[in-house]
Amino acid sequence: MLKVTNITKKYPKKIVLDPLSFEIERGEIVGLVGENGAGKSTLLQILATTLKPTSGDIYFNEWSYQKYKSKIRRKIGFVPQDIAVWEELTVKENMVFFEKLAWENKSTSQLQQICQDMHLDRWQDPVKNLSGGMKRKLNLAISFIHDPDLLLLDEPTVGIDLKSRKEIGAYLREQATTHNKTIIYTSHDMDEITALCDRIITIGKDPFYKDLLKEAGKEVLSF
Amino acid sequence: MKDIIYTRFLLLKKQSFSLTCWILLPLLVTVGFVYIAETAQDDMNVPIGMVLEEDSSASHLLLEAIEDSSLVSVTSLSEREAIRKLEQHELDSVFIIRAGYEENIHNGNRKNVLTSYYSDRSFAYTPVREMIVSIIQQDTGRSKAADAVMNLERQLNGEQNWAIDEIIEKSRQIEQEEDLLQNEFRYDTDSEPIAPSNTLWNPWIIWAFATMLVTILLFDWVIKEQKTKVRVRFPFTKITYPAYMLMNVFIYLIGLLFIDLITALVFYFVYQVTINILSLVTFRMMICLFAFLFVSLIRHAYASYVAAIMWTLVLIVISGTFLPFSPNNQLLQWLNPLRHFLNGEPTTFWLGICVIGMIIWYVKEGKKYA
Repeated sequence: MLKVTNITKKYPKKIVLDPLSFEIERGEIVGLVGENGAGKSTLLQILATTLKPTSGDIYFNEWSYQKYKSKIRRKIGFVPQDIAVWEELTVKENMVFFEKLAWENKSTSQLQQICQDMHLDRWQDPVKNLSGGMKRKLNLAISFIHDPDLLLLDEPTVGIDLKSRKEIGAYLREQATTHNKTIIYTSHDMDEITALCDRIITIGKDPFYKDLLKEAGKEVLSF
Repeated sequence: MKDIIYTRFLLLKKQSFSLTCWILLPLLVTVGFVYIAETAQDDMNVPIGMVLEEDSSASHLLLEAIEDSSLVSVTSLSEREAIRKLEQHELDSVFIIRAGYEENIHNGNRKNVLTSYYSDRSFAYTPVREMIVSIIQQDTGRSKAADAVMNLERQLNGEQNWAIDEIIEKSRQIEQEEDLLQNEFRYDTDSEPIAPSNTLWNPWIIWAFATMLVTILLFDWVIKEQKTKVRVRFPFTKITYPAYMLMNVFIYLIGLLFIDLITALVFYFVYQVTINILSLVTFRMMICLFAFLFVSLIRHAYASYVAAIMWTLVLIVISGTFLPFSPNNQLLQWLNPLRHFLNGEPTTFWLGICVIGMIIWYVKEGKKYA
């Protein structure tokens, strides 16, 4: 489904990504780990089409990223590390706002169902009154509105309680197994990564994560 | 477009009260300013007392002529009351139209028709007295002319048999219809004279400055939405971020134009002043695009508020509307985006500049999301 071949990202004074290649199948959850500054977010931005690689090719369903960028964007759900929602609006208004801008139309009950599936039940509450965990769930829910095939999640559970983390993890697993969604997930929480992901890609020079994951018996691809 | 209107509605409904206040502010500021200016002007008129000892048409016509002057504020009262108010310095001076005024005027007698009182604090006594004396002289002259007409009619055996009052009334009518002196008021750059209105201030001038300031302040949503984290979601929506912003500017433009038309109606009914609709529409288009580019360049909400106030003050100075300073520098005149509107013309030059600015902004932003 997603094929990455020898992609690099270089800035005039810094190499952010060394050549890396991998393939991800439909319905897989792949973790992306590495030390700070290793290039996890850069790789995620490249996969999200919002940053161009310096070299290399990427194919999504055999569509080249260079040729079919706008077509591919319709199939991507991107969950930014920062909570990208309107704080003054309610959960419902946020969902409706982004539904109006989305490629696919959804009814209000369908939007509410997405939230309920994530145990986000404070439908009429303003976002500013929600807990960090609830806000993270909404941040995630918005990315599911247009029913994307590929989900790119940049530390979606950072700073939230264990219960919300488990609920989000369960929801993502259900999306991958039942709805065949492909999920790429970055996190610093190794327990979460090992519990949730089918495969893990480590990037960066530090062997710490690679060794840790081998101990956990996970399939690891290192760059 | 319907979807964008709905998303804007979702964002604006949270601030509906403050938004309503802001969009009505130019209208309210204008009405308030004109009211205060006219009240202050009335307060600055010289207060004089008029006492009529005679209830004749000539004495009432004199009183009306004095009241028509924009320099004095006339109070009719008894002699005793008038002198008491003069002693208390509530009146600058007092003028008494003596009994027999009409007869004296008809006889061409200008002596002892008027008695005046003033105090040691009467600062405007002399010019007011001269004004009243000139009106009496005019009336006396008119009576003499009427007398001469009647004599001529008698000598020439005319059959008209005009009464003296009829001749005087006819004389007044001819004076009104065929004024010997006509004056037109225009600004040095205007080709057309300014039409007389009911107000001392043209409300559209006040409105233009208030609108410039308020529109820039109102467009702080651009800064907030350019900085919002929500922006990262736009590559995955059906509309690009620049197109979303542009459509929102259009929504604001339509909404504000609607308010402008209401303002035009209010000004027409309250002040009897009209506006060229093309001038109003092009001005509003220019000002919305200008406000968008202005806040986009500054990028910080509070800095944009300060800059907007400074910019409006600069415009007030270079337009020479409020301050007794009107630069003749052609470049400064061109730099004033309100110039065309204040002259009642369509705002073409600055609208063109703003459209070019918007195209540059759109292309530049579009590249970021390509």
